[in-house]
Amino acid sequence: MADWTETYRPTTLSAVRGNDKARDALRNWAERWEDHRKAAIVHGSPGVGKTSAAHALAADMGWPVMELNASDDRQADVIKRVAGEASKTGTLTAGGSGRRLVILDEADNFHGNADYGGAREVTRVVKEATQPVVLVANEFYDMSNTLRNACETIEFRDVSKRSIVPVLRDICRREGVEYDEAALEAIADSTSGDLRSAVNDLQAVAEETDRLTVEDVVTGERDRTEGIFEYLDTLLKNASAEEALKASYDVDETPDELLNWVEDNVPKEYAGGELADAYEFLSQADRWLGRVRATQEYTYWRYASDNLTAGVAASRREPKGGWTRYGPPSYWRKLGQTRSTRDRRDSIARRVADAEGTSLATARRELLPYLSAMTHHCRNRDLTVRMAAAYGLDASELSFITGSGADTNKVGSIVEDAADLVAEQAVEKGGNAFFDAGDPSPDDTGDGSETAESDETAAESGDGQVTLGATLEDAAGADGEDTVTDSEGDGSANQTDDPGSASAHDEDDGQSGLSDFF
Amino acid sequence: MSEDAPADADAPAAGRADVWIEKYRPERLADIKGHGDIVPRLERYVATDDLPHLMFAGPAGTGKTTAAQSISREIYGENWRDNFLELNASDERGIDVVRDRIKNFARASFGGHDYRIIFLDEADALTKDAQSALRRTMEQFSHNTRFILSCNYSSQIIDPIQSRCAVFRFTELEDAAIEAQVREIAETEGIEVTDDGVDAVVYAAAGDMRKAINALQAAAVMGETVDEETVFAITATARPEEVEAMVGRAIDGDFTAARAALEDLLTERGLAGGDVVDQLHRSAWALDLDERATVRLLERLGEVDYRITEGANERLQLEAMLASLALEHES
Repeated sequence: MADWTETYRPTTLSAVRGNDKARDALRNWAERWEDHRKAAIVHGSPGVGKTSAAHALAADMGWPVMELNASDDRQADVIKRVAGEASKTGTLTAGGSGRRLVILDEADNFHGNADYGGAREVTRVVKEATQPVVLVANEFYDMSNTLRNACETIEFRDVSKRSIVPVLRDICRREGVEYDEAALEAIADSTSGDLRSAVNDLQAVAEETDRLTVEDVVTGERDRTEGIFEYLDTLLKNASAEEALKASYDVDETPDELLNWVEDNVPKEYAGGELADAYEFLSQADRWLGRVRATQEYTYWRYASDNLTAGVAASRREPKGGWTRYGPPSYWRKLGQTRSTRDRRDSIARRVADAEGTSLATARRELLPYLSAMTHHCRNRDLTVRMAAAYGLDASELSFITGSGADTNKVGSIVEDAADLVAEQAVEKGGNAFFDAGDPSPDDTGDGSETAESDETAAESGDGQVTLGATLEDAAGADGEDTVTDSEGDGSANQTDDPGSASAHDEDDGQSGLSDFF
Repeated sequence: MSEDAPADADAPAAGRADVWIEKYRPERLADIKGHGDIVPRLERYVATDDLPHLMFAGPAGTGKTTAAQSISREIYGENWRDNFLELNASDERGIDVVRDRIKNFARASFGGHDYRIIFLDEADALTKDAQSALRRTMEQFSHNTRFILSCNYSSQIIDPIQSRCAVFRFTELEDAAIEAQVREIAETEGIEVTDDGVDAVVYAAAGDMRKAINALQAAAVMGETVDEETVFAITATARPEEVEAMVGRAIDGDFTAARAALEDLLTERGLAGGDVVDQLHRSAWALDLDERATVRLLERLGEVDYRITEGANERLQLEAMLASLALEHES
């Protein structure tokens, strides 16, 4: 028996569910391809149907598919040979249009030593391609700026419960599985936007019973938010220290994650002295996590757990009652939302670093804050124009630095003036627009290949850090600080907003996303 | 399994040529002890011949590898080894192994079965890049390959992979499950194990079946009967009561007696400082301390543990910890 996610993969675009807008944009891109000849980046969370849509598109258009993904060798020459050839020369065998669709899966993942040179080559291939290319990616901002600018962007959002349930229902009917509607809804709920997980869960559960009921729908890890909320309730309201510790064994969270949950929710129950005591234990737990990171000695995790479960429970002065609305760590919400913000920050910092001859870290830490202060709300307009020209900033990037809304006329006109300024300077081949003694190489001066190259180099050195360890550290360390300083209201404002325009909601927020990071 | 009992079971040397953890590794899902919530679902996959990608998360010695191998035996029978590739990610980590070994195995032709199984042990040791490569490979070969990933914590596995798997959590085995297995092996091997011997094995194993079986076999080699004493000696474990008594004296302010007890554990019994810390950590909740004092003790134990690893003197660190316990009574 086959994997249902494969069996029920849509074969035509019209069968792609839950992302109508993206689906239409993709079709539209393909139909207009002869005119614009740009590649498309299809990005979004895992399991929302990006790859399926790309294949379905090819089927609809009658284009044979040439596919490359991260599990193929991605050395530059391989990519050049396969993708370059495929995209430059049409197929001999396929009749009709002679077009073929090149799908580069996991396009955000062309980095790392094994793929050295791959990212640059992709950018080149994409630019020179004479065949339509679709790049599929989870993390839009993991791709270089040059690559992103060379492509049309289509975002696949998390699939809503409303769209997941009909898919599950349809599969049940075709598989002859009887079901309670509530069971399908429970599955859809628990997979939070990931259609593929939902189908997997459905298959896992359907195999066990003759008729699906809500009770059947408890599949491993993905029920975790339920478990954690119950656990928090026990821990913070009335568990003894020992009970709190023992119960934590059944929560499938690593101590670092659990610490975030507890830390975020403990003030909802505790106050005054008991809160201070609880935080002392949380702080000790955090120190243990630091020791684990420093020594890679994972047995220390148990001391972190002791502190953050038994310690927090023992800090409670009296039992709590009532019903409390616990929430996921705001830092997660933040992380999800600020992922694009952080990437945008880095993307700007990279160009500043290139232009000023500093490291990425220095640009981020020592240049961006000053730029941000100097151009706050574009008050010094002339300076802001020059900055935008010098670093080739677009409206959203400008908004990110200055804190002014990306869609405002103010920002729009500055971007226009900056473009004029760049053009002017290109004619004069004259000095620098910003910081009189600088390097005059803004991105938009037209010297495509050179800029691309320096951009890629920066991208790769940056990517070197994206190892598992660094990510963990990043998530648990640096970003943890963000949580503390960020107010909750700010974080929840735009949960479903398009990350591409995440900074739009900063319009009235003088701090902008940037200041969160210093 | 008792029908496997060798005819000469009463000759103690008989079964000793095998490593018991291999000899008694369950061959069928039904023989797996414990995990009553997981096993029936796995059996269902096998019965309907409809295996998704699986992910087994849980600590060491809880049956992840055993479950994977049992699935494979039930599906492929005798020649299961031909259709089952076992890779240990922490030995062969990196993106190349994912790409090459897995691809070669998945591509190799095979007869009679719709798919082969790749068991990737300690998948959380794979780098993020390797996991990324793995995720697409899983999908690409899903028409003829199923992946079973094992890891300690599922959260160490990137979301796109979790999204492709049915996830099962293997918790530490319950004492009853370990006891049942220990008694079964003892009967098959014809060794005499006292009740307190069984309890000692269960205690020393702390939820880890592999440790329990190793302890049993090692203790069986030591003498005719396996009793508490042999087990504690072979596993460098102190009786929980001894540890508790030592701490009790310290709490009562009799530091000299507590130190003498510690001395005994470290020198006579051959426990390492870390072993003492581990046992104290397990016994902490049984001590005569209020819960805040217990939590303080746990944190202090952590400090001892940390300082010992950093090179501090284990005896002195433990003594300091015992001395500080007297304060709990005064306050």
